[in-house]
Parts: sequence; structure tokens; C-alpha cells
Amino acid sequence: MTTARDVQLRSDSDLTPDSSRGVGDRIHSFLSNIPTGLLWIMVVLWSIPTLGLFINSFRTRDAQRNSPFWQIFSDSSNGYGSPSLANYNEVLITGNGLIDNLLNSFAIVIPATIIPIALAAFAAYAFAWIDFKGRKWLFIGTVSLLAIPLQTSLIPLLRLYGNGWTLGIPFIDKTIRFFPDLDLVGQPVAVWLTHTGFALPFAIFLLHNYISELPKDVFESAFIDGADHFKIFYKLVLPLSTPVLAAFAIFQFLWTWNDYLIALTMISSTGDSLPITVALANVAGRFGQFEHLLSAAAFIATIFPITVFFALQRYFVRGVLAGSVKG
Amino acid sequence: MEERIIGTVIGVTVAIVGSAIIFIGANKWFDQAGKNWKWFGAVTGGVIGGVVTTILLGNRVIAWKTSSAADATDLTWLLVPLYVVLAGLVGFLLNGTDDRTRRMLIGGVGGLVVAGSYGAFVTSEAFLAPSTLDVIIWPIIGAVVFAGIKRARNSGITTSDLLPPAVTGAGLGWLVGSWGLGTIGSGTRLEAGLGFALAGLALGLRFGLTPNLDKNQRDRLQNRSRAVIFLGPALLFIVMTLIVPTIGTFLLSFQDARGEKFIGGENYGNIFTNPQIFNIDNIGGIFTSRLTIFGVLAFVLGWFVARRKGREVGAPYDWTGGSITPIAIGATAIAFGIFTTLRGTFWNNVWWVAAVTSIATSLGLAVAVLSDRSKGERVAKSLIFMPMAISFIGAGIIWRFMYLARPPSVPQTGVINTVWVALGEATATRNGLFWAMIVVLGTIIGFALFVSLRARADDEPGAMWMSGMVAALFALLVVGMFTGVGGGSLNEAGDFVAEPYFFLETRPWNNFWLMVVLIWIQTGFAMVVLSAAIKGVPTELIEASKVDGATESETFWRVIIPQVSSTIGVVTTTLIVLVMKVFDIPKVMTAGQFETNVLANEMFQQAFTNFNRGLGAAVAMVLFFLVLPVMIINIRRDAEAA
Repeated sequence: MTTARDVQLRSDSDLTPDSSRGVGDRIHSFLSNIPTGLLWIMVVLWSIPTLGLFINSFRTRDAQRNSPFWQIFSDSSNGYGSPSLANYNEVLITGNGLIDNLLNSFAIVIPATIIPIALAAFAAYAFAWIDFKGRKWLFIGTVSLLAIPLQTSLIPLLRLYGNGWTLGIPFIDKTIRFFPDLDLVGQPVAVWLTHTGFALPFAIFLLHNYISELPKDVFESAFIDGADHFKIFYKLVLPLSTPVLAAFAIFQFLWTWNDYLIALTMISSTGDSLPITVALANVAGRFGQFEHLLSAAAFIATIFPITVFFALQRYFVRGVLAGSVKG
Repeated sequence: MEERIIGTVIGVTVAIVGSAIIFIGANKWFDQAGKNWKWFGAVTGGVIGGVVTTILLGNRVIAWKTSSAADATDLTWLLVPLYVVLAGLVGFLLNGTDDRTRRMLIGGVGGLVVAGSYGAFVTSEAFLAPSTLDVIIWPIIGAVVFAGIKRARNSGITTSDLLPPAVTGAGLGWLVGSWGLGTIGSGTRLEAGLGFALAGLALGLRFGLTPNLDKNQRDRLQNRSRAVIFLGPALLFIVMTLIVPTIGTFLLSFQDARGEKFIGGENYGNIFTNPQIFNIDNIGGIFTSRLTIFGVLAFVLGWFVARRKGREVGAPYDWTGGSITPIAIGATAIAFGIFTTLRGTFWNNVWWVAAVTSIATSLGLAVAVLSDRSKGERVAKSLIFMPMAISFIGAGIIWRFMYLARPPSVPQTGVINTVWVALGEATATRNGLFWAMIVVLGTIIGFALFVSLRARADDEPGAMWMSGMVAALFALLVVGMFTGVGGGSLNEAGDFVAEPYFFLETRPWNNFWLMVVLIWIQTGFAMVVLSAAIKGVPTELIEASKVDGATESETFWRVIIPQVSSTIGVVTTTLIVLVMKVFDIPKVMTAGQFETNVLANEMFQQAFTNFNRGLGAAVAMVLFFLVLPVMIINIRRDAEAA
């Protein structure tokens, strides 16, 4: 709301020497910048929670229990002990062993990111460039599954992983087994299989938006040269779609790394396959004497997604935009 | 530890390489359809043989051991490659000739022999004892029904055209009569072998009866099958993890706790009669709640302004900041009034959706507008966007430190309560901080009044009212400070006693403090999307409205907002779906206690903690039905766009 008028005012003050303007004018021009100021107030408010957590993670137990985070610099003079990496050492290695949980998270996140990308790329290509009957409605049907709350899948899926799937045929009293009893519950496989399925509608939607916009003549000339769909797919479409593949990869990485519900359902909150989010929730659930470790644990769980986020923000934003605004 | 890492790496590699081989293989397979028809037949036969054998193995119908002794070598794994080769050979021969009689002979005999040879490997648990009547009647019924359907759907066909469907029907009828209705587990190996052999005969004959495809048909087959190969894996996963389980949950929601007995709508009845979940006892309180009264007043004021300004510009209503702002505030207040009166998990969920969606979208829009083309735009937006990268669990923990309330006797360390208690101490004891704040607030009021008066002189009513309202707000704060705002008061002895605010325990507002966490996360999302939309508004439009003499705020409400309204719709629907299934935040911050439970958490507790699967499924279905309208809106939008 401010911009144009601000620009106007700023250029005015560039042209006119300050002495020739009234005090009122100067105050007014200062105050007109308040909306921009509001923005920065909001930025500060938005950053304080994370910053506070980060600072607290270095402070000793006494310090955290007796003073707010901004008094970190007077910790040693207050006799609480000076800030150090001791909390990190304890949660990662000596105490909670979160380093194992980080590895578990990677064991889930890597397949849960790579597999849906591949499957969704094939499907998006088929929806965009292979002509077949019912294509439009199959696509709409697939994409509309985006909104399904995953809660409606959890109970039967857990059963599927635990007992397999047999279907009893009515009237003739026979059962056929469709999915073997692999006893996957409690293993990372169960989590990434679930993530793969849940990610596909969004992935297909996102990749389709991009792949269907690729220039048509590229495909036509390739067809004339005798290339089949498979060749076109891996020789042309894959290289051309790298940006959107990267966008989805980041999206999926963040989503699977930060997921709690699916991991909690498929692995439960005990055992040695817990990913970092479940382990973190466990630390948070144990109140009292370990509370001072919580901020360090939370920061460890957060550092990977935040790093990815800041390093690849451009792609991430592209993913958010392509996923919510139709092209 | 190392073992687990290696295991994971191997597992993932095998999965990826295996899928890649299957996928590339499938593509190569259909390449043959266009190039080498014989080999296509071989591969097709091989695939059919492999799939059938795998299904039989999975259901423990066949096995291969060198002897019946317990230590006999298990050769079962050889069965799949064996039948791939056998059935592949039949396919190869079948596609090698165009002569109809020969094709029928090859298909029929090949099917009979290959399928019949399963009889050699059938396990004694799968011996078959069919009744003679069934195996005669059912193939006839099948043949007649299938041929009849064909006849009914196509007019003017010859008898020989009816043969293929009749064979298919007879084969299916045979399967029903022998394997379906017969007793499995008693009977003889011979009968089991016959059961396979005649099904194989029907399948082989069916292929033999259809003539070889010509070149055009082959190309079309290749093209069409490509769609299946490309879509197949993804759709398979979707069906496995989304569609079948959702149907399963729907059925389960009508069953009892262990999912064994059908109990009708009892679970749904239990949900909506449980006062913990659905409580409308205090509904009369809506009309006396201060929030609703204030909300209605604001709403009416906004309506009135819209009407009056509309008349000035010659439209029925005028929707700009002057009217929309009070209406939005009023609607929010009314909604909060309603949701603090109607209690229970269900209403909490609706409150979450209403509050988080509207506030995050509005704040996101505000930030997008404020930051547009301003200095440091990228940094500001990055920082507000950053919470999107943090897990809900992490965010919940971060905000637990913000909300932390310690007992009054010890120093506060939670960020907000530290400030709140310090403010309370200032107002209660009138210390130096108190007077310093009064001076600062007074200055702000002065500035605001100054701007307001100047705006009045410049004839800018929007700016005038805005700064006037800021002045009034801060004046209220000053009054509040004299009457004791802040967490604390003086006791009889004149000592200050801290009164921290218990954010997570004070009901019903603790719900709102939890929502703040999600608002903190999602504002960034709304901002990024809306900011891109605002930047997409054509510059000429904005320029044109300025040339016409529109002020900044008029341009915003009359040009920019209509241009981005569809994007606002997208953001809103996305957020509704996301907020509806909120789970992690209440789970980690309050565990659903203190009347802050939400449906997703209720579902989890019922299904996986109380093991009441039927009720858990019913709660999940309630979530599903709440999301359904959004789904329908999305489908419509997609159908229009496609």
C-alpha cells in the first residue's frame, strides 16, 4: 500500500534540500514509512521463537530454569554456568542417542523421495502426452485424491502391513491372498511405502502442470524421427523437467522428514527404528529433569530441513507456487 | 547400527534397481509388439505364466520338493522361471502362425499341457474334490451367459463370432465349478491337475481363436499399452494406499471395536452424543457472549459503511477497506464467540479451520502487500517463510518455550510470560519502567493524532481513520496500564505477586494459543503464493487506476484484490484441507488435554491406543466428510481447467 507514494516521497526529498522542508513534512515522511516498519516488526516477531530456542539450546539447565533466553550473556556472572555444546553432546551421543534416529529418518526419507518422483514422472507424462480414453477424468480423479485426509487410510494400511491382505469371496467360502504377510510394521519400509502412495496425487499434479506445458513441437519432431514414448520420456522430458523434479524433491524431503503421524502409526513410539520426529516427541513427553535438553533436541531435528530450505529456497518456492496456483 | 545402515542401503538399492528393471523391461516388451510379433507373444506368454505361478505360490497351492522327507531340498523357487519359459514357448509358437486351425491347436494343447503340469506340483492341502454336477453345469452356464451378452450387445453376428466369448465363459465357469465350489484339501492330485488343465485349455483356445493382429493394430496396441505401463505403477500405489484403505475405513466405521461385527451407525451416534466431542449445551450463551455482541456490532457497522459508500459511487455496496475491515473483524469475533460457547473436539476442529485459515491468509496477504517492492523484501519474506521448513512437532516445542508458565514464586523464563509479568510489575508498582512506557505510548499517540489531522487536511479519509484508530488503540492501552494490565498485582502487604498466564491450561482460549503455532507456520505459505499473484497483476492495470485518480488503498481494494481473488480461493482451500487434519501440534503441546483435543488426535487415540477400530474409523470418516466439500470444489475447478 505504501510503495508508490513512498517512492514519490523519497524522490521528493532527494530533490529538495532538507532545510527548505517544514518539520511537519519531515515527520510525515518518516511516519509514512511505518507500514514498512510494521513488516519488520512482524519479521522480528516471527523469528523470535526459533531464535529463542536456538539460544536456549546452548545454556545450562540452571540458566534455562532461571532466566529467559536473552539473558544468555549474563549466565556465567549469575552463576548458572557458561553456555556450551554440552546439551548437544548429551542428546546426540551420550544420553538420548538421537544420532541413530537421524539415520532412521534418512532411511525413510531417501526412498520416500526418490520412488514417488520416478513413478509420478511416468504418470504425469502419460497424462500429458499419451492419448487414451478417459484420460481427463482419470487425471481429475487422481488429483482430487489430494484432499483425502490420510487418517482414513491408516487403520487398513496398518493391517495390510501387519497381516497382508486376503479377500474372502462370499457364498463359496474361499479366500484369496493378494498381498503377502510381510510383517512390515515397525520397520522403515512401512513408513516409506505409505509416504510414496500419499505423495503421488500431489506429485502427479505438480509434475503434470510442468510437463504438459513443454513445447509440443519438440515431441512431434521426435515422433517423426521414430522415437517411442519411452525414449522421448528419458531423452527429452526428464532433462527438460529438472527444475520441477527438484522442486518436488525438496517438498517431499521436508514433508517426509517432518512427518510424525505416519511414522508414529507404522512404527509406534518405541523400538529402534524411530525417526527423529517421533524421538523428539518422546523427549518432549518426558518432562522434568530432561527439559533442558529439549531445545537442543528440537534444534537437531530442525537443522536439516532448515538448511535444505535456505540452500534451495528458489526451487521450494517454485514448488509451492506450482502446487497451488494452476498454470 | 552399521548392520542396519547396510541393510537399509541394500534394501533401497534392490528396490530401486528392481523397479527400474521391471519398468524398462515392460517398455522393451511392448516395443516387440511393433517390431517382432513372435517375441512379443513369447514375452506375453512368459508374463502370464509368471504371474499365475506367483499367485499360486503366494496362496501355497503349489510347491516343489525333491521328496516328502523333512530335509528334502526345496526347489519351489524354480517354478516361476520354469513356467515363464513354458508359457513363453506357447506364446512364441502361437504368434508364429496365421493359420486358424493351427493356432487353435497350439493354444489349446499348449494351455492344457502347461496348466495341467501344475498338477505335478500341487500340495496335498490343495488337492481338489469337485462335484460332477458343478463342473458340468457351470461351464455351460458361463458359455451361454457370455455368448448371450455378446449377442445382445452386437446385432447381426455369426455363430463363429460367438465362439470366443463362449470359450471365455466356459473357462470361468469351469474355475467356479471346480476350484470355487469344490472342496479344497480333500480329493486327489489328478482332479486338481484336471482343474488346472481345463482352465488352461480354455485360456489357450481363447488366444488361438483370435487371429493375429495386423500392423496397424500392433502399433495401436503398443501405444495404448504404453499408457498402462506409464500409469500402472503410480495408480497401483494410489489404489493400495489411498483408495482401498479408504473404502476399508468406510466399511470398518460401521463395525464394532474389533472390526468383527456389523453394528450399523452406532459409532457415528456415539461420536455425536459424546459431550467430549460434540457439546452444544451452552448454545444460548452465544447471544450473551460479549464477543458475539461486539462482532455483530462491527459487522453491522461494516455493512452500513458498505451501503453508504456504495450509494456515493453508485453501486449497491462498496467493498473496500472501510467496509471489509469491520466486517472481517466482526465475523471473526462472532466465530470466536460461537466456538468458545460450543465445546468439544468436533467444534475445536471447526474453530481451528476457521481461525487458522482466515488469519493466516489475511496476514499472508498483508505481508505480501507490505513487502512488495520494499527494501529487504527477500530477507523479510525468507524469515517469515522459514517456519514452513520446521516440523509441526518442532514448532510445537518451540512454542512451548514461548508459552512456558512457571509458578508465581519463581522467575518466569517463558518468553511471553516474562514480558507479561514484567508489565504487571510495572503497572502494579508504578516503577520507572511504567513511566517510561507511558512517555513512549504518549509520543506514539501524539504522532498518530498528528498524521490523522494532516490526512484530514489532505482530504484522505482512509489514512485519517486509520491513524485515528491507532491513536485510540494506544490510548486504550494507557488507560489499561493505569487500571492494571499485566500478569501480577500487589498483595495486602504491598508486595508484588506475579500472576503468569497459563496459555496451555486456560480454557477455552488455550485452543487459540495452539492455533497461533499453525498460523505462525502457514502465514509464510499464504504470503509466498499471494505475493506471486500480486506481482502477476498487470502493471498497466495499476497504472491506469492511478491515472484515474485512485488512491493507493483504492487501487488495492478495487484492482489488486479482484485480480488475486482466485488465488486467495486456492490458498483458502489448501489451508482448510491442511488444518482439518491437524494432529501433531495439540499432540505434542497438550496431548489433547484441557479441552484442546482435535478429531485427528481422537481418531488416533481410539484406533491405536484404545484399540476401538470401529470408532476410530468413524472419526476418520467424519474428517473425510468435512473435507468432501473442498474436494468437490477442487474437482470442479480442475474439470474447468482441463
